[in-house]
Amino acid sequence: MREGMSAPLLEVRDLVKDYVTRDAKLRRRVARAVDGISFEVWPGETFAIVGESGSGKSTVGRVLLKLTPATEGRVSLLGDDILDLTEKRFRPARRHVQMVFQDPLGAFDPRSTIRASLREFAEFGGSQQADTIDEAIRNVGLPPEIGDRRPSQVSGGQLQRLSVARSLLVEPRLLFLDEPTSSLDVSIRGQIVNLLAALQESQGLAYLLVAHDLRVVYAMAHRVAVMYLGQFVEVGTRDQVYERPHHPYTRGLLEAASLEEPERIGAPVRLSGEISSDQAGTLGCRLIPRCPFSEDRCEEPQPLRPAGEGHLVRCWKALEEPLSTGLPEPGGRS
Amino acid sequence: MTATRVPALDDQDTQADHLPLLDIRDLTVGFGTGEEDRSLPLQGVDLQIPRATRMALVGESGSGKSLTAAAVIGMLPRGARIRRGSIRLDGEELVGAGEQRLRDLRGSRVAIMFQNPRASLNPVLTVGGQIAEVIRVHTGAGRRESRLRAVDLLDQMGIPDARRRAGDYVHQYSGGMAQRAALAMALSCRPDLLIADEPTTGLDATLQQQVLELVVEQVSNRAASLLLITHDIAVARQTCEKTAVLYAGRVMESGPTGPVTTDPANPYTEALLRAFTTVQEGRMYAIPGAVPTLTGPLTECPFANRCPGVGDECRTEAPPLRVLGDRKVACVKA
Repeated sequence: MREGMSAPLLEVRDLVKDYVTRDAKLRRRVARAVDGISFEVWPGETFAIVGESGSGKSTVGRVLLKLTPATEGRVSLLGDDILDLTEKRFRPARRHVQMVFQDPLGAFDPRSTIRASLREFAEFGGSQQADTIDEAIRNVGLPPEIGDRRPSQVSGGQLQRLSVARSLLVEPRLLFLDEPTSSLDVSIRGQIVNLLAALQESQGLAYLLVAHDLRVVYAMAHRVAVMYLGQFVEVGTRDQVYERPHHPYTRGLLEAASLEEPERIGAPVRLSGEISSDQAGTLGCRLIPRCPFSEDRCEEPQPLRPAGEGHLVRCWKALEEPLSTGLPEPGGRS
Repeated sequence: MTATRVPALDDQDTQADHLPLLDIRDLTVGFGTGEEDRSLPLQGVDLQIPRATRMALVGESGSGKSLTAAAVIGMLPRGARIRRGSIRLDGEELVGAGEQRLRDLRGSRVAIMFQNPRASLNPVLTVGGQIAEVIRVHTGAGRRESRLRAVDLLDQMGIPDARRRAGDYVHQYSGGMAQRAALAMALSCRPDLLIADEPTTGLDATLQQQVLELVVEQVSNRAASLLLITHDIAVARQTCEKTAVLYAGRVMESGPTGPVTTDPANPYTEALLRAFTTVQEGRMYAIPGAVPTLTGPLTECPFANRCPGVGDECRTEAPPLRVLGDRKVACVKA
């Protein structure tokens, strides 16, 4: 797929994650949060997963970091299967994947200076030199003196930069970015996006990005997967997904985000209702209760099928006929 | 275009038939003990909302937008005091009004809904029961009649099977349904002014769209006015005829939403707009620097340190809001 790159950094095949809960009568209930997803992330690439809360997108990241065990499937990192590794045997591989959290406050000890927190993390990760800390802080565009402050004494944007610096201390190959900008004000979201883009260019980092801000995803992602109730419903390059979206769910999300750019092909789609786990696990399309196009054939199992090179869509109807809602075309709106 | 200063209380807005529903002038709020203010988060806010008009108040965190709303409903946080200025509702001065009078107004003429719908609803009473109670107290209707009106209101808010759902508790509602119920609660006393403080910020985009459309529809049906507080210019565009942009406790620009959000006259509005519109070559625009901390009265334009067009004339005072055509702008260079 990518010339000159022999293997993906991360390869996920048919990943399934069930959560077992008990209902009010203590009956065992299985909630399938991730239902058979496959993707790979290549060196230097940003692969984004978008979807509403409850789609299962954050669970994917938690499984990959082995914060929670997978139910089925295979995950290989740099060619090694990691799902069956014990924590001890996974530890050397763990430094290759680091996480940047939504809330950077959670990444730092509130009572220590930032430098002390970073040093502790670097030592834990096996990095020795003290001057690497200053270098790491400079690397994210901040003066090293800021390391003498406590987390409460720096701004949210600066703290998110520092949590990026923290993740990079152990020289990972892949960063899992879980809503990296959603705790930040709009005027400074771009600072983090641009920092991450610059680091990717200079260090060849790969990113797995989970976000619901479609502007941020558009700015950062090379490829995008749209997730709904545990399944990918559309996967493609950024431009395929943003400019030629096929699946009604993708089109509904883009419509609701009221992005001005890029221009989209096709009539806007208005989704009704909200995501409900009642539909999780059904064999047919899970969007039926919310979709303006649904009909009987949608009850049949919907496989991901190609809509173009590298473009996959889980909707028979979007692939076989043009979808029209009667709503005005994007170009025709004021 | 000639610019004139806004005179204190005698411009055309305040002539009898144009008397705005809500008229905020020079509102200044400080935090502190005794006579000293430790901080001055609002410094002369000017905002007029005509009858049956939807106004968005757009700002980043720390701009003072929620504090402005809190001042209007007389619920400033502990330690905050109005230092200067006037808030008139239908001509009646609210600054200095007694607690009992403010409480009466909150119940009858002004209602508020918050980001978290569960903050507006009592968790140990049924949703329908507490709305019926508000109707009973305000209108003197009987229990049965109040109950029927509560169910009718929930039905108008798009809650399916409202008669049955009225008997549920708020924790049994999904996020979108809870926000609809909070709107029913806010509208149950037939307010002239609905204040919505980030009403959709925690919701996914598809739900956000549904709730905003409902708020607009219900407020217009009742010929009420809306003060919608948001950090998102796209939300302002979707919902409001007028927009005011708040920065560092000052209104930087206000006027019809279209012109303000497409052809800004204040450099801050322009920068905020650029931060919102995507994306050049995988990069996003970010406003350099950070919001100033307001420990004392402003002695210069609060945006001066981040403004690309700053000059000496910006450093002499915080620029007053001047009338410029159909809008008001606080920038000496506009």
